[in-house]
Amino acid sequence: MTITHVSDTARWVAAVAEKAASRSRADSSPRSRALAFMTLLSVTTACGDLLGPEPEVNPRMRGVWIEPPSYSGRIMYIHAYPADTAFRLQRGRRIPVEIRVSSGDRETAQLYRYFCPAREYGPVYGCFEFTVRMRDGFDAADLAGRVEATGGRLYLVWDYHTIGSGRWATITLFSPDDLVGRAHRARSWPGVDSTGLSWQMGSIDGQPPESWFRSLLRVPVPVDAEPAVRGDGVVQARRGDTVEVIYAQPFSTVGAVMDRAIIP
Amino acid sequence: MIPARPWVVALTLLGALAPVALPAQVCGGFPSLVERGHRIAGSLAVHPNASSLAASLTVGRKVWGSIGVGRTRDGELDASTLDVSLEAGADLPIDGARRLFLCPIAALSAALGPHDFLLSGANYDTFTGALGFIVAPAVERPRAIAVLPYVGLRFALDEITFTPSAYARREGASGRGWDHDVYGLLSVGLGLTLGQTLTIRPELRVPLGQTASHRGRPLGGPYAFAAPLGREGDEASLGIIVGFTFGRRP
Repeated sequence: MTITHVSDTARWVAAVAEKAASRSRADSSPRSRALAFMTLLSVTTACGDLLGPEPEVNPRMRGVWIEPPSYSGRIMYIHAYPADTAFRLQRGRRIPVEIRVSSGDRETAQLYRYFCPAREYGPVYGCFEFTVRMRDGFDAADLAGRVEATGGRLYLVWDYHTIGSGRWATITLFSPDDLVGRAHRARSWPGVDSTGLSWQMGSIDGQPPESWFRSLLRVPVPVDAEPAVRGDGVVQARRGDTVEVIYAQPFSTVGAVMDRAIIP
Repeated sequence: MIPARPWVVALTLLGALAPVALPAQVCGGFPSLVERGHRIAGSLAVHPNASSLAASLTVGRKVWGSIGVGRTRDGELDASTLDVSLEAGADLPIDGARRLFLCPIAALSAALGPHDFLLSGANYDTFTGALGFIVAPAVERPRAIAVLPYVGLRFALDEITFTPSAYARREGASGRGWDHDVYGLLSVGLGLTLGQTLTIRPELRVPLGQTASHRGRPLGGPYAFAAPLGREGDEASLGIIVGFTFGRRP
């Protein structure tokens, strides 16, 4: 919240309150009552202003990093590290990064926090993932259709000791909105025994993460090998294509940070 | 985090500019119950990471009792509590001219939930006992619109209980757990009353002291966010109550 933001709110509260005061001294008509309501409304609106998001988020980054598609080859993670480790992206805010593929695709991805919830204490979990545990006789790979319908993809399917037997799966959602609620609802999927959050190792057992962990940013992006369609939210890239991620630093003089990776 | 200072400034400013003449009102920014005896109210409170909706019924004269029920929800954590409260108080003049009132208040409340918190299988319930007081001025001649500021302070003792879910017990979790938390709560507000019946009351609440969530986690990781849901550290919250005073005049 900027100083200007607060002072504008305060000026408006003051102006409306002053009108209400002068009117009600003079009379007790319905008009003065209406002004009194406006006073209340101004307070409520001020509440919204003060609780509302900042107008623009464009922190200076130390760097960005591409985590190339893994497992199924259909999810690519983009990581970003703010230069100021005290930076905290507020809930509801996103930071755009540009994606360019050598074969022609162009996309904009929206960075969000790596770790949730968006608060300064307590344990943390990944903002984009949850895990499912299947009942005996069910394979998590069979959930692929349902997962895609909810705006995500299977990231990893595994068992306790061997990858691929299908008792467990990590599901990646491409938006962090309502992560916990969506994981709750996934319990009604056929064959699902339970779901859980992707807790950062140690933090659930009482070891709080380092403070700077909470500054980290990330976003998963779906990847396909289809022909390029710019701006459709899916990165179309084939094996051997080069993918670039570019983040424009604040103030044009600083330039941009970028990373490059080859699709395996 | 909500910065508390702008709210204090805004409410103070509003109070300073408010109409001067006030009707006979007492603590909490509401009209006195002496004449009508009953009040129903609905409230909305905005916490740093959650919001609460509640309704209450208050009955009495100089001594009054109130029962309330509500719900607090944290959208990010997809968690909610069912809140039940009982409160009693009295309006006591502390000067001969009856211009200043001191109102002692005692309250018991329960926040049932959150349950299966953060998919962990853990169920939390919080029970709270509180004692405090409100100081508020009263002015004699009523007008159609009255604005009444007040300030209150209460001290609360929370008992937070934890029970693992049936699933968690099946997976090896054992036993119940509990923890205590003691804290203060400073409230500053303005009651805006229309026609001696309808009251709209914004209120700022500032916790004093830290919650149990900041003192370690005897009950395990998610506990840090669970107890009690919506109230955290030293962050302020804002509430608004709409109350309707009714009943037959004596």
